[in-house]
Amino acid sequence: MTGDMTGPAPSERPKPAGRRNHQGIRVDPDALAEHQPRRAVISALVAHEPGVLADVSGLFARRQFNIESLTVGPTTDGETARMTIVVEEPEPGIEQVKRQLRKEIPVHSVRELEGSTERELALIKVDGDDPAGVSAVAEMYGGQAVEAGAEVVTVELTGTEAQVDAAIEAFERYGVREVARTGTAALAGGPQETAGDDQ
Amino acid sequence: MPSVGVFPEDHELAMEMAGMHGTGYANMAVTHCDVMFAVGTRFDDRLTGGVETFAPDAELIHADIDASEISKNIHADYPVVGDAAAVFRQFADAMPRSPDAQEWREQCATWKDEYPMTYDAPKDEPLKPQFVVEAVDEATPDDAIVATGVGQHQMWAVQYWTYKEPRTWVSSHGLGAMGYGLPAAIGAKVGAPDQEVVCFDGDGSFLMTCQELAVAVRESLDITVFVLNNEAIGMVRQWQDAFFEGRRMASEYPWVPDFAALADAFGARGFTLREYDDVADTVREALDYEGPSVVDCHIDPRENVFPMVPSGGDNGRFAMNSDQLEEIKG
Repeated sequence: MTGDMTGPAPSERPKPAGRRNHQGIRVDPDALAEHQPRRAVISALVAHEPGVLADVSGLFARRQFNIESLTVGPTTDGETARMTIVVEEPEPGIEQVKRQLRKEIPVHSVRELEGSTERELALIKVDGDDPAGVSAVAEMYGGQAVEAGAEVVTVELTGTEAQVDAAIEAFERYGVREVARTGTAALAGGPQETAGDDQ
Repeated sequence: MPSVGVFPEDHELAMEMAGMHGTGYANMAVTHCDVMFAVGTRFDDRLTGGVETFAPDAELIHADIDASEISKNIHADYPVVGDAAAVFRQFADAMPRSPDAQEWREQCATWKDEYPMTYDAPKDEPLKPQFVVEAVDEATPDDAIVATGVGQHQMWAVQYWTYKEPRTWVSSHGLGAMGYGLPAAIGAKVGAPDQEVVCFDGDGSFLMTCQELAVAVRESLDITVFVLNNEAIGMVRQWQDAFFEGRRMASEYPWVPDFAALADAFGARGFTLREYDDVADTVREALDYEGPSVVDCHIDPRENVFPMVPSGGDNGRFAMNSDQLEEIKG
């Protein structure tokens, strides 16, 4: 069936002057304006109950947000847990992450942390051929060997994401077999409270 | 599509639905407007097509009660979070008089003339679904409620029925739930017993939930189901023909049940409709029957849904027919 409707052909119709980028933002047709991705640390105070992690991770999966890490653990009151989410997204994506999180019922508050204290724990299993060398590197990054055998040495260390990256790189020359990282946990800097919504 | 009925479609300013199967004139208006005031929309991809070409000249005022919808898909130049009624009231207070839109209104009227929603209905050919939808619309009051399944019949029901009252359109929208029509009609009748309730269904959608006729009969619900029967999962077939070189797979059903006999077996009333000359009388008889009735409308199986913007396409380059579809596919 050809369809019986008539009207000017697509090529004969007037064309709009403007355009948007793939983020739906109106842009100067002659310039290419794109928001570059940036790293954001988002802290969410959530109900400490089963299913919350699944809700939140399901949200990220559905919306295809780029998650660097997500950690969760209980706070001191037994009723809430703190989630620290590190995302690498262009500005509109970061705003959307926050808005979507706030919509989840078990989520009490959402805030982007700046100038916060960030740490993550890494366990790094390295070849044991040069235990003294491994220990020296571990010491340099404030870590320590937690298990040392004839074949492998396992080092524990904490630091910012960048410090852990640097440490793992330094261990490469001894042969890194496996790494387990917890992802970043963060608290707001100074006396300011980590919970609460940013404006 | 979910907003169908909020503004009367017989009003001279009504442009009706935009997007993938929206009217040509609505898509022209959306593409060429310089300000868009959007209330309660999530800018679904069926509306926007490709976001790069969606309302590219428009400054967007986006009002929604859910902050996470603002700038999610289309960047809002002026975000407004709030209840729609309150937002409209505040805008009315802030703008004591309307902007001069004479030129724009004339432009919109021209587009309505240029891209009419016409169809041919030669009497010696099989029934056109559009004709059936218009006939049922004509035979029912303005506040009649329309429920649908999902597919081609759903698009014809939204395109060719003139919606004049709010809350008269019940469909599954973005959920795309085939089989939604009959259960939704049952719910609508229970919720609004004093309004006429009709369901447009496809043969595919109806076969998913037709057993609910038992509920309608048991509860003596006066609803009328029009099965626009083209012996196909028509929308899938249309896409296979348009975008997959006609390689049809699991979209044709050369045998379907006798839906009139099926209705009778359930204790409902069944009708079969094949000829243009019988449309008015059969529609009347089915609507008048007190209790659930089913009209098996054997429509032209070759008919497809137009206008059409291909998935992710440019709304301003909608196809009015298959030749234009070939043009925009390049």
